[in-house]
Amino acid sequence: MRKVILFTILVLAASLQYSDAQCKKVAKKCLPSLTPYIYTGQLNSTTLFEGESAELVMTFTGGQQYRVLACASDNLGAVSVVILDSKRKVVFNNKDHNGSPSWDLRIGATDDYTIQIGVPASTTNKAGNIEQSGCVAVLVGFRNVE
Amino acid sequence: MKSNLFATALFIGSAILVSCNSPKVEESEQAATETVDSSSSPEKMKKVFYSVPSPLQASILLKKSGVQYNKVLLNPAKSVSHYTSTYKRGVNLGIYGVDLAYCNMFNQTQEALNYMGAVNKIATTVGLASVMEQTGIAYRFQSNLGNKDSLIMILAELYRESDEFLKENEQYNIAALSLAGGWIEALYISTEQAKKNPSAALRQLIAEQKGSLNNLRNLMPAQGPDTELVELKNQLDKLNDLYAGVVIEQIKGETVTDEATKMTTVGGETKVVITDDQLAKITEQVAAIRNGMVN
Repeated sequence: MRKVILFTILVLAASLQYSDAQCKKVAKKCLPSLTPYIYTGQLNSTTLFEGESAELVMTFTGGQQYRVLACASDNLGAVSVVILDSKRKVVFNNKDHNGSPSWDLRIGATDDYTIQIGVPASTTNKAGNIEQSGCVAVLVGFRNVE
Repeated sequence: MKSNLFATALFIGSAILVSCNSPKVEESEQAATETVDSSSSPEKMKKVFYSVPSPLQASILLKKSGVQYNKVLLNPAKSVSHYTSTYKRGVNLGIYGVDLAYCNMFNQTQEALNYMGAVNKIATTVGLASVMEQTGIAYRFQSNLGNKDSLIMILAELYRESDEFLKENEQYNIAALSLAGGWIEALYISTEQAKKNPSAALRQLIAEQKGSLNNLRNLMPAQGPDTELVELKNQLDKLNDLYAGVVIEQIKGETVTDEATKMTTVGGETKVVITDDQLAKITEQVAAIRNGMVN
């Protein structure tokens, strides 16, 4: 029985390691898509289940351009990306742009923005099926307006 | 009995998995600040991240605001050996990161090399030796001296690899302290230069840090590693109080989206009001925080 317990814990611990490694892999896979923008260097990633979302709050400075890139594990499919200004006004919603995971913003006035990344709840998942989960990362690059 | 034992094992294992699948320290620290905005996102909000300008971004903004190179304002590279506590090493990793990027931005190659040495040394003390070795960043930096664009990309890689490594290894405190140190250093350089030349661009840059300060306070760790962290958080709170009266008005313009270039232009401009007295008090508080970090 002790072997069963140990095995269970080891399997779960291995899953954890896989999850961390998976997140790094997901972010690395997307990094080239930030070019020619300079990556801010701050990795924001987490594991999300279907129907969950995460958000990144950051200041966008006037006179700069930003590229916002949502990266997700392949099994999650398309993720939603919504960008709001400090008054919670939607500046960009990828559902209006063919679900594009990446978008550029040219900022006039410095403001605090919120980038929301969501994994849509499955509409086909039947009772008893295991919910999909995977890594989601938000990458942001910047450059001066030319 | 056997099934009970198995259930217990499964429960313990599941608990480990659930608590570690996402960054547990950060999660608990930020729990109080999480928000749900059901109006814009139909999904259940799981996590909120906060971001502050990276050392590279800070140095680019400094250059753009018209500041001059001033070596005296930087933390001497030779001081690196003085930092023995986790707190001091964490904040000075960020401080040296900004000093390095600042030197590079102003083409101060010899000084940049000195600061790369300091970054290399302090990074090693906080567990980043493998990052420095595997990426060969210090060597590549030296090999590309004189090519500012290449150096910028190398520095971007350094900050990315460091941040990734620290978060992957659940060293969220070091990652946050490094961001705090870097943010304070950039603001210190700005405010000290504003003493002599409080140009409109510099005043605007300083005022606009109000939002980033709020983000920084939100991402600071709730606990440890040293009692100095508690003091730092108190000092940041005090700085936030001083910023409370600074007015930042967004004069929004038209928002235009170009599908072909995948670009949305959010028009408008920022109008800031920061009085001489507010600027002086912010300058004084920033100097106090920064001096506490480097001394």
